[in-house]
Amino acid sequence: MLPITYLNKKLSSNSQQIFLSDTQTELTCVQLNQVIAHLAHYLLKQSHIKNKQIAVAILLNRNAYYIASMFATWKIGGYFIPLNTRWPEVKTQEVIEHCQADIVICHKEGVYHGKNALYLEDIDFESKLEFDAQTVRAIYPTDLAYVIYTSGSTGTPKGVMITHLSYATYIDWTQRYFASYQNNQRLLISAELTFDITMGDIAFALAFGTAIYVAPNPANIMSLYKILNKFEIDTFYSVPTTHAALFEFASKKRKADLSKLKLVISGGDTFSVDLIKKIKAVANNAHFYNVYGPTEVTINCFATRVDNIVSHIEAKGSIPIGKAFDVIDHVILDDEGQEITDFHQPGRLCVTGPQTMLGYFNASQTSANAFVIDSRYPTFNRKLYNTGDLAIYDEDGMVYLVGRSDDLVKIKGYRIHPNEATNAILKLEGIHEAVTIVMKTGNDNYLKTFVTLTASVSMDMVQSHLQATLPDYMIPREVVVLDKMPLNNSGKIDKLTLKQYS
Amino acid sequence: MDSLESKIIETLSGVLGLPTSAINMDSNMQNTGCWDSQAAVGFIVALEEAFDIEIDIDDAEKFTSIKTVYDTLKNYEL
Repeated sequence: MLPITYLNKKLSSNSQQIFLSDTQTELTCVQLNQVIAHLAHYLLKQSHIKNKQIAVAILLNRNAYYIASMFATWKIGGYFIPLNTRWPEVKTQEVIEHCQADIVICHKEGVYHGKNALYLEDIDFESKLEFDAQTVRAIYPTDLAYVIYTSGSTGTPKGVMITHLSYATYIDWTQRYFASYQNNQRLLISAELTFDITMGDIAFALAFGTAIYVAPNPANIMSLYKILNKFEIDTFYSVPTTHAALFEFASKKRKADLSKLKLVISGGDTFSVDLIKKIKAVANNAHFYNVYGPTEVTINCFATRVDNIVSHIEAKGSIPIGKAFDVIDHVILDDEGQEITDFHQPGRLCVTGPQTMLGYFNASQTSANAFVIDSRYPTFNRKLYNTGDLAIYDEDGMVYLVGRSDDLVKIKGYRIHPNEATNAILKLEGIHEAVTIVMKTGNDNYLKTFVTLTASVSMDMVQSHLQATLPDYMIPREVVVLDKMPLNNSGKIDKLTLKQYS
Repeated sequence: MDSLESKIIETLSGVLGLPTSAINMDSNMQNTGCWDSQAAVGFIVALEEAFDIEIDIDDAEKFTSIKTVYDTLKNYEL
């Protein structure tokens, strides 16, 4: 079933049920259907393209009409490119130019006024509906559903092309994997709308008909907390840093009540066992899952519940990403591209399956470089997506990430990954967060670890712990205590800023 | 500067690790580099402790500038 079919099914049922809200505007299924139909009508009117997909860039403020525009684009058989009105103007222009959008749906008071602009303010949502679904081009599974721009290591943004088939596969997986949460009523979109976590939220809503609540400001933790309570949100997928700040706040707030939460999903970054405990302490009805996957493999491709294996995680000293989805074939490859099957031997995590991206938009060489040959089937010329993450198998049947392959360095002749030092330091009780980065003096590499910790932990304790748990060459030369970790726009720990601290 | 203003500034200074001289009535999350979403959480909790009050969540979500905090806390029984 394609995403649009899930949507149509939802909108044709439960007609008076609220399905989309930005806390100011609440749209029932019937109302949303009308809004989508009007948007679709104006999109079609603006475009004269026949027999090929229409590319719609969405440059709207963070509200219900943004999500409705995504759905309307699918309604006309097109694909969307989500943009952010808070991006710098230069970046916005760069992405609009790169993605070759046919239409940019935007605001009159915004920064974009090209010939292909369709202003939301010009759409008369009260007008008599003229949209005829029969006139639009049919969607094929290999058509694009969306293109999400991620920052490339070269500085040029990369547009990850995801097909309807890939996204539908993710919705289907959501339906199977989270089946026991099918009665969840309301989810909160707390990530930027340009991140694929949002697409994960929408997939959940399409899979189960869960109502979507869009948080007005993802950076305002108090506002997120208020919305969780006010709208009795039961499903909350976000990045670990947002979860950490919110549950920290809840744990210190008198009379905090997050008992309505049933499902908390963290993805996009690593976290410590402290976060699991913190969530359990203030939201004791919630189950907590760790999910992992690059945007290039449609949101996620590994998952595991973690709140029911806390002692196992404590014994292992790190959080597993779990098992691959039932539709994802994965392999860990060594430096020669050969499969690793031994436990605890790190290698590059590579995946393939129907969720794998079509490629990067208008970047054939970058796209080709993202894949490696599947050495298990030398005659197939089959390609695997190289996640760039280093992973290991464990006896417990799960996969653990141990770092990024491009972070590997040689120190005193040993090939090591800075995360080995990070993982060791995180095992010391009272360490909240740790990040290790590679520093260079002349031709020599060395490690520097940044930590946040409780006041009871002294530097002497840290040093003796490191000496007791790590070989000499792996002990960070410097350990720096921070009040808090710097975060980037995605809410992840900002390693570039940490390097500048040095 | 009255005692409420100086106590608010002292509290934020403790959370951000900045000298009190670096914070004033015009400070807000946009112009104060390390006052990010995580620090904002710490600030609310620290204000509750410093003044021994329960800050309403409707107020807390608007605490993005010293002036807003000052204007709001003026109405609390401190």
